[in-house]
Amino acid sequence: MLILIGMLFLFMLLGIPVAFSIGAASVIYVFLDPSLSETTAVQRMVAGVNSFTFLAIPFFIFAGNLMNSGGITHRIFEFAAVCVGHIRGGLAHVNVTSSVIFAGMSGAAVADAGGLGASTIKAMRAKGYGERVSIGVTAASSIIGPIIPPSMAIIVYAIASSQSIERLFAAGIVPGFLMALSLMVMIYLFSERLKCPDEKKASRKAIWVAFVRALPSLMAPVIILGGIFSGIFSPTESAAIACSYAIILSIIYKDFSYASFKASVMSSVVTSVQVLLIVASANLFAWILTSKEVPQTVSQVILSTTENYLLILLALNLLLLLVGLFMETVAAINLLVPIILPILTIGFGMDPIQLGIIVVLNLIIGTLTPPFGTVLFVLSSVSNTPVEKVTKYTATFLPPLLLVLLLVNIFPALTLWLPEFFFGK
Amino acid sequence: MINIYKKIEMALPAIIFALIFIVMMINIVTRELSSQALDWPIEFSRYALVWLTFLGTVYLFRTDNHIKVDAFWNYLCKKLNPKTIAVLETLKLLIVIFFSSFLSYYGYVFSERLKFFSSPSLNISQSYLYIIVPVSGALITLISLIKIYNIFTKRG
Repeated sequence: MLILIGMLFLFMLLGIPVAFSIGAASVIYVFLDPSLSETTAVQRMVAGVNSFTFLAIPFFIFAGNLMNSGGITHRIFEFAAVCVGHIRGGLAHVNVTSSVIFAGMSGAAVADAGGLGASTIKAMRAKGYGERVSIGVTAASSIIGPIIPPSMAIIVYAIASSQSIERLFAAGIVPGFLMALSLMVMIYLFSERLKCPDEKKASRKAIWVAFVRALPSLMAPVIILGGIFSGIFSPTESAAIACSYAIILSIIYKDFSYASFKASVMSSVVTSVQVLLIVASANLFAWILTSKEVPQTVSQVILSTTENYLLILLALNLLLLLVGLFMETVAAINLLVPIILPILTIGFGMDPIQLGIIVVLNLIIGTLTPPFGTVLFVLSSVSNTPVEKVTKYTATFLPPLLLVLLLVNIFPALTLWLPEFFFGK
Repeated sequence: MINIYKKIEMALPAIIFALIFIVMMINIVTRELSSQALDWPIEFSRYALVWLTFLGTVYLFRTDNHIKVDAFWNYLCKKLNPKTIAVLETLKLLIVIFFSSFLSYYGYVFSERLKFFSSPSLNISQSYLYIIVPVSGALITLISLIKIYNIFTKRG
């Protein structure tokens, strides 16, 4: 088993695509172990993506891309600007607020950073905000996207742990708002040091005008989340409806062009396939783990070492943060969940819903740190700033996010209250 | 010839993606209008998703768009001489070839085995679902061989 994991890391370090690294390492193991059948290995890979629920992933990616190219994101930014732009810290608050709204219709941090983030950075630079706050807040607030539903990472966790997507989606809402709040408090307190100029308060009339302009865009999260939580649509269907809605809006806004539509489709195909192939090979890997009863062995070892819940919690978070540094989120969820889920839920009685948010939050924070910081890479390219600088600016805003992580760990109610409120025990 | 191939390789995943989207919307609209759920759209979408994944993989592999961790590799490239890098690069591609030829051989064996099993609602042979695995594996193997050939002809 150590050979398998060793090869996996060696292949990844050499820069072989993550999905191929997982696949090749697993296949070598399948050849070495006569009890594992080669054709079942192929079947496991296909089974990993042969799922109706997974269809939600490409569509939420598509919806985010369509909204970025169709002028919807921009209207949300304008609306947030008149609402919170006058608070000390100005556009930095606008940045966080529009990320929260965008989070309600997009499922990935990179869509937030690459679309909305690009335009917020431009606006903040034009008004003379410091680079640190312009880029750092954009990065930090973009990871609210995968916590507030809909979320790609949460869908992946839901399937890997066979939990209800709806419940997990509901569980992310409170932590997502807490992340926004903690970032805004930090911006407010340090606005002078962060070089945020003062902004004028918008008139009532201006707020109304911006609200009316943005209303159709603001309806997108309502339609998506309302559809899911009321049970009218499955998450997959609501993702498809979000896409149709975005297409219709961009036609109404007269922002629709065939070229940008084609670009949205192509970039959605690329992002989806990246994720789906990783899911396919991770499913093969997870199959080896379970056939060899690795989760049982690991949990026995851990439970015999300590029964201290706090210690386990600490170890869990450190492990996840560490893995998040080096590994792609979707791959990490698929590889780790089969092992950690039984330890924490059966061994320590943690709710799998709370565990889901802890897992996703830890791993998503990892996308803000090198060497595998996807959000950093995207921001570096849209802001024409070297990755090292983006990393430094982003690090400034990590403490509030880590604080929320701590709270989510300590207080199960933060994640469990809302799903119980919506769907009962 | 190669250009036509490249066009098809890029267009096919996009077309499948669009098809899934259209079928899904048809499904929602008919269900809401007639309160009768169709069962073929779900099966079609699932099959198409598998095809999208494995066909798209070929395109992403050729255009070098798959997610990878390149921090350490970039570091190596700065430290080592070009010859060693060419050797390592070949080794990486050989590992990919190992995996992709596994997919093409056992994918073929598996889809042959399922020839006479048909799917519940579309009533087509299950081997159509799996046949994309060997096809994609074979294409990736071919592309890797071309990439290796390019390494050696470029750096002589």
